Amino acid sequence: MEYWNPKAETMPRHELEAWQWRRLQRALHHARARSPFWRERLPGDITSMEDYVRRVPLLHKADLLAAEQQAPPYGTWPSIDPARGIRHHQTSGTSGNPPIRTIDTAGDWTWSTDTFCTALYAMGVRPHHKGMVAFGYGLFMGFWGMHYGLERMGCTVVPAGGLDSRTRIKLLVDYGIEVVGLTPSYAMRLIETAREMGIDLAKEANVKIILAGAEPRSKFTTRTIEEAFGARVFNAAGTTEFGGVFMFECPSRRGACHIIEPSTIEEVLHPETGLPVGYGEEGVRVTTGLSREGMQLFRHWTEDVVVKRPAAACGCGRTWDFYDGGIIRRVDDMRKIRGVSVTPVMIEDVVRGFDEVSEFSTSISSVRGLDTVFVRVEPRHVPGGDVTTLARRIAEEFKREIGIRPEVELAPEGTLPRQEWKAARLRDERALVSQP
Amino acid sequence: MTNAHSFLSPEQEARLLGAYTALKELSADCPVPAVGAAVTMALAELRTALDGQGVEFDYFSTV
Repeated sequence: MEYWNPKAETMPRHELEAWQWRRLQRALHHARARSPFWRERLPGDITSMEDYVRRVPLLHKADLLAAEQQAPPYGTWPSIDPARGIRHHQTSGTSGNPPIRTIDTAGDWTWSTDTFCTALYAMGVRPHHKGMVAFGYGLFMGFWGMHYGLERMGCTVVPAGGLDSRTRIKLLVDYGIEVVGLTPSYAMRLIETAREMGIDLAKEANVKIILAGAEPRSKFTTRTIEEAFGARVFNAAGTTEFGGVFMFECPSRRGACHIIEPSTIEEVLHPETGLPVGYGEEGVRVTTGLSREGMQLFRHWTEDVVVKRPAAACGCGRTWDFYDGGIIRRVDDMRKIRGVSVTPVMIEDVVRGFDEVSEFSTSISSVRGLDTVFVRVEPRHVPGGDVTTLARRIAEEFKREIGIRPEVELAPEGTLPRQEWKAARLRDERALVSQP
Repeated sequence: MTNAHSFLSPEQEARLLGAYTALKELSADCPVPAVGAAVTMALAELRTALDGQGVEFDYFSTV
């Protein structure tokens, strides 16, 4: 087994935890000394990890937005003078909220880049590889760090921002790209585009490693991407609020996403009681950043639902605990439909199980007082497939797997939206209808 | 092939830290913009490298 940083990745747990505590003390000191926001929230006399989790309040997105509004664009949150920042990024600002805006120093970017290197090296990326990052290179922090990580490792990067899918496919094939970074949704889009171009990616391209991040995904989506590209798909995740990658999937155990623990303390709390849950139990990820100096996080309630397992359950030798299956879903993704709890990934698991599905979208509406799921499916013709019965078969499988019979209709080719970044395939229209 | 125990030796670690310290001193009163910018970036890189080796020094030193 090879590691990017053998010492940090294989450090005995007791040493790692002691190191985290020392790092936390310094992070707390830095925050209290330099950030008005944190000075108000953080006690100055925290004596232990237990004391920390007992006395420091959970941080919610609304808290950051409120701090931002006090002195836009960055508000009272930064622990640096924003003039020292070398890069601005921001979230999309969904649901009518303003975006979370961040500013990072050169030091922050080298750390962030290093988290990508840690992940990429574990996945098997090496200096001789050629890589392509298929995203927009814009305000979203997204895969910027992967671009820099590939460069730092000595790989050759083909920047693919601002290009359409056909051009990206052509680059993949022409340059023999071996490493690709994208979202699972966009990987599906590239597969579809390649088919339209008459290109068999598994045979004509040379992709070996795909870092598919930023979205929960179903096992069928992963399988479809791997088969179409003839490559191994790895999961990884970071956030704009955190500023780097906090977990990456290990090649030694499918779904085991190691936490980069020198950079983060990860609590997993019960979504309703807020109490810690044990290894193997579902809970919400609460993160404390230990490395980023500009925009610090202490006990950030992320809304990510995860299951943590001890490092030893993976055979790779790392001492970093892992999230089994990565981010399983978002707390606010769960919908109650006729008493049944449904998530977008559950739906994707059903619909992507049909090879004839090219794209789909789902909505929930109230029809004469009854919650109804509508699935719109864009079909494609495959050998042995039968599009005429597709809607019925999807409805039956949906009922069998999830317990609700949806209304399934076929959509004309090319009519459903394709997205490069975090796809939203489930719209809940019940609240819209009930508004006056 | 394994690098599981390929740690830096104490001497290598000390040299890395020494390079960081020397650059930090240089950055304090560097009169040449081009050199100052290079030193800033080099300090950021060295700090990340040292951090990955578990060397504890001035975190949050505002590079």
